[in-house]
Amino acid sequence: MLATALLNAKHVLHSASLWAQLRTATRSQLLLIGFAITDSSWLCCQIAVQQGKMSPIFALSNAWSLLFIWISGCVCGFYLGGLIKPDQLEMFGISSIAVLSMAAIAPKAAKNSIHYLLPGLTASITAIVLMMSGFNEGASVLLATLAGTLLACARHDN
Amino acid sequence: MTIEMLLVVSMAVVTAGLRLSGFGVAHFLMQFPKVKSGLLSSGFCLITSYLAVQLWEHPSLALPVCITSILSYAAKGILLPLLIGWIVAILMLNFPA
Repeated sequence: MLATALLNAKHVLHSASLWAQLRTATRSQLLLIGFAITDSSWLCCQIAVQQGKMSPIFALSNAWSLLFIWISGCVCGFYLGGLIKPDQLEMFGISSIAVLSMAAIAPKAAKNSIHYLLPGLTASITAIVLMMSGFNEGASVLLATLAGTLLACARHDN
Repeated sequence: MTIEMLLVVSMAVVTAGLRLSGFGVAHFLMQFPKVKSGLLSSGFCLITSYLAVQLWEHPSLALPVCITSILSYAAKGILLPLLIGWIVAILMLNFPA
């Protein structure tokens, strides 16, 4: 359980990074968003932030519809898993979509706020250094994000 | 309820707790202007570190990622660059050089 908490500590950053756009949400909306938001719905929310369409209602409906799709997909996978082979899924580059979505929104975010560039660059370099040092994916992302965020805080001082 | 089911449910509760605590942490930290700018950029830092880690693990995605990023910077929307990047990724997966 402790290992799960540590590996998923990035979720604290997920919700914290969306807080500025969810300040108008009611307590019950926050509870529902916090319960349902996943990596993919966080990514959708980030896209909405860049497009200026983010609101508590968007986050709520997006998080719950994606959670429903996720659970339905898992249930279908149990029953239909034998029909689709992993290499057939790989043929369509399904696993690359999340990475490409991030590649699509990163330039938009950088364009909107140029002062994000240095912390973002620091985070990506730190992530690669941590991966090279043998850290796992989750720990590298978490520590690298913290490094970038701390740099952004420090730059505000100057 | 079996032990496995109990573990899955408790892990889901822990993860939801972490996300909710993120809101609480952000709500508290937003009072400090120094930390506020850091929190606002944390989403971008998460994206860039995810991207770096994914590219480190799957170097074959470098070209589709570059194409998607450049097109996204130049174009107005997100969907078209994403679609073009995905097509390039499919071509590279099925017809490696």
